[in-house]
Amino acid sequence: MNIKIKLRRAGLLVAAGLLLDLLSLIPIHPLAFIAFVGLGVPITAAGTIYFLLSLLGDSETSTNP
Amino acid sequence: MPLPLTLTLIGVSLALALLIALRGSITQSREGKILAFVGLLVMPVIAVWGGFQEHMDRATSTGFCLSCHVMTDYGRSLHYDDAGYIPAVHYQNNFVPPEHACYTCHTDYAMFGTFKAKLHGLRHIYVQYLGTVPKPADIKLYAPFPNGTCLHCHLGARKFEEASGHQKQPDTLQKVKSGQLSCISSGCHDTVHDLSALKNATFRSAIR
Repeated sequence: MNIKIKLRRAGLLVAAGLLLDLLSLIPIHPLAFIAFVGLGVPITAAGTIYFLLSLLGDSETSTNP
Repeated sequence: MPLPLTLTLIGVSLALALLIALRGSITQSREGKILAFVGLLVMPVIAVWGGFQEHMDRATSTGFCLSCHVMTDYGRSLHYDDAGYIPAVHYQNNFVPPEHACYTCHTDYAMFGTFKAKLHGLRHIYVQYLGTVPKPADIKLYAPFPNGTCLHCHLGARKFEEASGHQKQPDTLQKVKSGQLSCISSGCHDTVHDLSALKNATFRSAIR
């Protein structure tokens, strides 16, 4: 798969996670904490890991003859 | 990290991530790749860390603890107009920070005190939304209230050391310090969050 598409997907995931993180900071409530820890952080982390994996995959394909 | 800075960091990270997601072609240049690295790795990590710190700080606030309906009466007890009522005396005289009143007395000050408090908090959320919520008066502590929590502030204070009640016997103070004699459950300072006393109580200040 094209690295450009992978980076766009990673960007979408990170953006979605950060949006949830931002929204969770509006109310002071236990459920906001759960939304942050249980949804926002994992989605952001998934986007970041997907970004790193896509870089790794790209470097492997570019070094192979 | 101050809240405005955290919000700014999350906002900038969000904008960068959206830019990369919607304009994927910018990552083809060398500068674009650096931007992607910053926008999808460096900034999100810092922003999430800032958000986590903010949430952890909020989780120690009195408003956070009292946001569950079952805690309402415990919140009211902080405003009870009685000089012998321990939570009210501590709250109304700023012996504990009013904005962190619950957390100050209901976390232990050992190495993993905060961690244990957070685990208990997760259990409370489970009970609140997925379990059976007990009546306020039926809520009990997980373990007897440790003297260490009281001594964390009172130990060494002249008023505490010289109080007549603490000098009843030559070894009373020593027993308190070693935990042999409980501050709360030995009958000396046992008026703590007595919800039955609130029915006909007068309150000193407006309930927050």
